[in-house]
Amino acid sequence: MSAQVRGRMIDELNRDYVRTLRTRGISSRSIVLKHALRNAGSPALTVMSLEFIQMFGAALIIENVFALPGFGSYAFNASLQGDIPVILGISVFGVVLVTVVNLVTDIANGWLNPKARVH
Amino acid sequence: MSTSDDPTTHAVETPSTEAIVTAKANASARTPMWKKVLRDPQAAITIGVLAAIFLVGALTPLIAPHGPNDADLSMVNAPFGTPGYILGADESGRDIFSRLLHSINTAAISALIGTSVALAVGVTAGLVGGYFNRATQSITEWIFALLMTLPGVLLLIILMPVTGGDYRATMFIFGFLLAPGIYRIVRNLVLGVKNELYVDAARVSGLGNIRILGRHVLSIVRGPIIIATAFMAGSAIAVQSGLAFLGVGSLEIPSFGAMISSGFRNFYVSPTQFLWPSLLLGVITASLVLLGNALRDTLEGSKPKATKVDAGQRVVADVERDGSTDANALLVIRDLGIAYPGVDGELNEVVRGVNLSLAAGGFLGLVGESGSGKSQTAFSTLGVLPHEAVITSGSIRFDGRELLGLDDKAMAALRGSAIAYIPQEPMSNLDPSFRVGSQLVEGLRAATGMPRKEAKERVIALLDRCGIVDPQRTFDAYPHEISGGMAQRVLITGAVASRPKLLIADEPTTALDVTVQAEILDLLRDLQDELGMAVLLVTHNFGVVADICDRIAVMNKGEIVEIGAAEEIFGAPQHEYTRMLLGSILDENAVRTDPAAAAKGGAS
Repeated sequence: MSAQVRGRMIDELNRDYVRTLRTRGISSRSIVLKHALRNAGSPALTVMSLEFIQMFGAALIIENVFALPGFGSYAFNASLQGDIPVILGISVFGVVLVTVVNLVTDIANGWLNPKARVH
Repeated sequence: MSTSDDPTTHAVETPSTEAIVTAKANASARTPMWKKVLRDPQAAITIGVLAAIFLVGALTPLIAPHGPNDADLSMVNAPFGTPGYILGADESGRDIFSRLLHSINTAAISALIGTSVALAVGVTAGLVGGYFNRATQSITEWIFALLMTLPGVLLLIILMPVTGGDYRATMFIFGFLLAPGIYRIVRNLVLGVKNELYVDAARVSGLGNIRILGRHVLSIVRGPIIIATAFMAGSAIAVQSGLAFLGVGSLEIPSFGAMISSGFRNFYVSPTQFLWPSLLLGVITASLVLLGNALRDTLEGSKPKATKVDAGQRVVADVERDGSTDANALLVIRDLGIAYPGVDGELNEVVRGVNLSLAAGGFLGLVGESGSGKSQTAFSTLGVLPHEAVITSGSIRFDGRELLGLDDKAMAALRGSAIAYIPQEPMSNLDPSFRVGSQLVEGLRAATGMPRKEAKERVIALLDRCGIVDPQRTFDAYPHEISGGMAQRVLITGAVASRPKLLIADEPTTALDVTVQAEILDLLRDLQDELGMAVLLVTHNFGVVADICDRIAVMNKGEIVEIGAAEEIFGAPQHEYTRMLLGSILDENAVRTDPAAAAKGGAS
């Protein structure tokens, strides 16, 4: 995650518009924190949303280690016992969760990146 | 190809792709990939560690003292160092050392199946999705977007009834879940390379799609795929262990996950049981990740190093701070040298001994072909040279003040307010995420400290002055919503808004079409008159400087070869190179000379 943002920031700071903004006397703080970060933010956000979905699956291992009740262990036990309705329910929940996360990501991306807005 | 010695008679043959393929083969023959990788210590060590571990795994049948599931009730939880059970035995009396060795093989097979499936699916789909038409592309795109949103571990557990608990089947499915990463890498590379001229040349010369993909495209995606494979192998092993730890799948299979799980249960009886498999698993996955990172650095060339934006320019020259100055001159550049470090670390001078002077209110054209160092000269005056650049000699004096050696803060105070800049390529020089107006207002306020409302009024008035029809609308637009010509007008507005004394215009018309070019040049000239600024116009085009410049400097290979009043340069060019540039102006009254012949004539 941090490597991702770092790489993107390095790319952005080497872009032409950064040099042009500098030639107008704009402070480097504003260039880094306002201009470059906003442009570097949207790919990082996409990675973050995918990570979030993977975490949802991987939480299962944590739940198991610390004996926490949760979706992971629930799904796990259900699939061990072949409890189809529970598996279906969890799958539907997963679909809804993934959709919501992607929707939130897209809305945030649209805010960050005007080109992504649909008119 | 034996008859193609004479290029003129066989010009219609199709030697282009062959030549490129051989050139490429030669290039890779010079430094073989594996040699480059092994030279990197991190890659060499991780490869060594992994090779040793998997070699031991392969020799398991020979060296393991017990079978993976041989249980001996007398040995239940045998301690570390028991004869015949070096690392002890687990809760069922199975030898931990033997199980560790067998687990290496389970991990290896998992990684092999997972990565093979991911590579097969991802590379094929990536080539197809990237190379063929839009419909194919959107179908593959859609499928892989779907795959990417599936929560991996959870899916594999839910699919357990399908896999029947066999870890190989699970890894086969996991391969599909890994495939989107590979797909994206391959597709992006293919899209990038698809429109390259040499692929076009291959297509025109009649090579089939399959052959083009295999030969030209696959050779480019090789590096990134190798890197991704290292990461994928690590994640396949981690996921397999994770699932085994949870008890998903057959309990007969020895694996790190199952061993950790069993060690975990006996943590209070015999804590070391838990240690060994964790340690080995950690070493393997960490080695794979580190190897991936090392491969990325060596195969993709190390990423550009992060630098501070406000680091300022590096100056190694002794600058004489109080030399005499010409009272009339606004900008005096003397003996300027700029160098970049080459691959071998030696400085490579791109600008040498440049002398320029520009009177207040003057209009100087700096002419030369691409790569002649004119933009570098312009950047050094603004203090925005790339961080690798080193100023090796000279002095740049602006309004009686030495600019070289000033820190970035002092330069930033001058930039915008006293020296302004118009870039070459209008579209890439506007920040795509901010409205045009807010960028201009921010710059103007940074340069002058004027209140926001006043700055906004001035920007809108100037947009209007610069020939933008609906200034308020442009003010509120995002950069992608305006045309290239408008963007250049916006950038000119941004440059002149703060009434600078010196305007540096770096090929301000190159990216525009001809009718817009003339308008932009007119605008520049008018603005110069109105605001009384001096203009340094950098261009490769004599036609551009002809109308508007009072003085012209001609630059070639980092040096100024000729400088003088515009009429002199046009009337009686002294230098060979100037004559060649003048000769290359398009003129419909004369038959154009062959550029190749002109170059030959100019060089001799």
